Amino acid sequence: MNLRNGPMPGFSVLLAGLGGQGIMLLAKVIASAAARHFPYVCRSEFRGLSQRGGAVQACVRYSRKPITAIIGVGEADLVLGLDALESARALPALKPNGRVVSHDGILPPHHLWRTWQDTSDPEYESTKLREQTLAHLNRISQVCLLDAGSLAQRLGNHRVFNFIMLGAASHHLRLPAESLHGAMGDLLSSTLVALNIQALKLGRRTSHERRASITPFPVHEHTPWVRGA
Amino acid sequence: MKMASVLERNHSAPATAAGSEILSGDHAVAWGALDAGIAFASSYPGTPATDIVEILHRVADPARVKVRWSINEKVAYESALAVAIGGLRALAAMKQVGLNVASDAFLNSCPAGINGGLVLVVGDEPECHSSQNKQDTRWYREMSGALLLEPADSQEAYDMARAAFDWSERFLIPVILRLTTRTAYGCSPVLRRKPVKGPSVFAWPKNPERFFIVPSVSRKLFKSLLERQREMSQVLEASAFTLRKPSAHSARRTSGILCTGLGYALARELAPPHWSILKVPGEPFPEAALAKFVRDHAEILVLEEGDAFLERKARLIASDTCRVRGRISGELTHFGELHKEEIRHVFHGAASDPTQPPWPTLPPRLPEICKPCGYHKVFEAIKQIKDVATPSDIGCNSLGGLPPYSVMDGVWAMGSSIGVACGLAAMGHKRVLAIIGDSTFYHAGIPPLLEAVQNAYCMTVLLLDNGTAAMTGGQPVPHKSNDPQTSKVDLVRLIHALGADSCLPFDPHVLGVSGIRQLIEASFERSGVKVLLYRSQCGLYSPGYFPARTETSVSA
Ligand code: SF4
Repeated sequence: MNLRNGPMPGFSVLLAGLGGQGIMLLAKVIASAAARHFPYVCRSEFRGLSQRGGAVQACVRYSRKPITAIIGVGEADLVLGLDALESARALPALKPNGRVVSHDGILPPHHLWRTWQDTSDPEYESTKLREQTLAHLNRISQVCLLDAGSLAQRLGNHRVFNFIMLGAASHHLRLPAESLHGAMGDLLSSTLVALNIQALKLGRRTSHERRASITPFPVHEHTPWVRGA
Repeated sequence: MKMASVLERNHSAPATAAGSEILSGDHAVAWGALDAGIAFASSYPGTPATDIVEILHRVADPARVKVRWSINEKVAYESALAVAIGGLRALAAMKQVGLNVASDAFLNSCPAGINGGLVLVVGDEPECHSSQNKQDTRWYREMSGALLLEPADSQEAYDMARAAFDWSERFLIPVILRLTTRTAYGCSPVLRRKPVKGPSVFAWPKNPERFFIVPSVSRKLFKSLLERQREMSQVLEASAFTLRKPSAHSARRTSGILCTGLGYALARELAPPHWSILKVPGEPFPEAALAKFVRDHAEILVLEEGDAFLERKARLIASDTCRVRGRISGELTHFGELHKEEIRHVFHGAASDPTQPPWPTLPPRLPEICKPCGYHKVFEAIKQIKDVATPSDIGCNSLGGLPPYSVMDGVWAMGSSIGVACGLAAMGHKRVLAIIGDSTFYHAGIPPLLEAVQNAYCMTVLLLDNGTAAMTGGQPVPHKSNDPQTSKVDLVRLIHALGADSCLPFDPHVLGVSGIRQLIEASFERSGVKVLLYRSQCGLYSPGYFPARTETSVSA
């Protein structure tokens, strides 16, 4: 299929993380930004038992053709992970040339933590689990890992964690940054917009500096799509 | 592009259309009902249908629409039924297993029907994400003779909700709107249309020839209901919700997709252009139209969420000339949600998936009881008790059945903990501990408690009062209702009035693990029905109770 001259057919983002991290809000922001450029925009809102420490996934898809809010195996152009373990769990959904942008920390599952407390050293075990997880992620050729927690601290507010990660992934969404800013203006309460846009920019800059390891998708508004630039 | 325009003809408003919003199916149904001029909505919370009434609570004008969280689904349905019999428009929403509870009222209300539009929204869970089973509501439609509609996306959920009220009034019958997990939670663009006012006069009819369904009346009513089926199916087929897309290769009409609900949305996304499509919008759909589609093709693929409902029908019609592919043929998973990979496999054969590296096996994240919750102390205490039978119930407390506690022998239906305890007590089991939450107790735990009292059974009921329906998002329970008009319920007095031999309230944080253990052990020494009333507010839904979220994430 020659996509070089045709319009970009569609884009799928899978967001993965934990309950309470603000994944649903990120999905809303991406969807609202995408709606400025694409006729068909879907997102999912699966929640289940997310309050009780469970994993949360959300998806956003935008396209020029009718689509569903479902990302099947090997369909995600981008996995945006707010917890490295959950990013690794989402890998089967990734396209062969897809990108992964993820926080590099993990929250170990509670039941493991308890077992470790009884049998060994939880700090040691969780560091080991984190290293194994990052090794899985590093096997993906287009991966960008960053410590969003310490970046958020730089801004003095841990709650902007999610928008730092969105900023880091924003190169790869194929959406202009202004559209994301606009969507944030529409969806966040006015007192929070400035701080979160600052977070978005910090994340964006930081991942840009690591560009060597990952090629961003080109941003397209009305320009043709070039696959895997 | 030509194909797309045929497909888009009826719904799928593009997101860029001015004024459209990206909404979940639940949200779209709530708006559809409001714009159809409802006067009343009621529900008992249950995934994936909770959000409908949650949203109506937020956005409906209380002067025009009365919105209620009911005691259980049966009462939710009956209240809505009364409003509709009186000529106004009403909505009742529930999850699929909730309809089991409401089914007695629902099935028996269909022959006599209603006057104002009555829409029953049911959220099915083909993959059992948060349910005990995968039951498919379309079987209830077969029993009831009601009309059923199943949307493919949020726009259709909105449009169908509005049409459902009109058709309900036209055929004088409740209309079921079947959502499935992914149409309920999937969000896509919705363009609202101009609202209508809906009927405004409530008049309770005195018409026993119609509503007093003694056998002689029932037989007549049922005949008239059967007679209406044909017209209902014709209206459904002629509606804009039925779609037919011819094959792009006019010479090759060999392959067709028979689909409904989300199955259509997936067909629209995945099907190669030479497959023709028949989208069935609901039930009853004319047999003749199905038969024609089957006859016209050498093979059909059936795409539907849940059971092989249409597929069975197609198989009955198909002769040797048409191969019916789907769940029964084994090409799609036998039950549950539709999987894109399997559908692609049917369209393109095996070669579609490029080889992937082996994926790591990762430790799962199990749902957990919140850290400061009093349940930890209770379940730890039960864990230390030997030789105890623990029938338990639906809700947050079900988490006690998972590691690290695993203290529950079984979960069946709402209220079953006490009903099953009755059987255990009848068999002479001396150490029976029924575990049930407060919302579940009100919902279906009161009749079995009366049964226990009536038979002077020996059992302990551990009633966990956390002051809310926590599992579904913190909806109110009767003794903690936000509305002072309805919060006259006193749980302790209720238990005494039911005739329980004792009712001992306790605070888990004061008593501690060993105190709770002793309390339970001591209760086994006494005869009769003993209620141990745990009283500790759920922290998740009472702000300020839990310490601020502390970050324990490990980073470099
Ligand atoms: S949601 Fe409430 S009742 Fe459920 S585990 Fe958390 S604190 Fe306990």
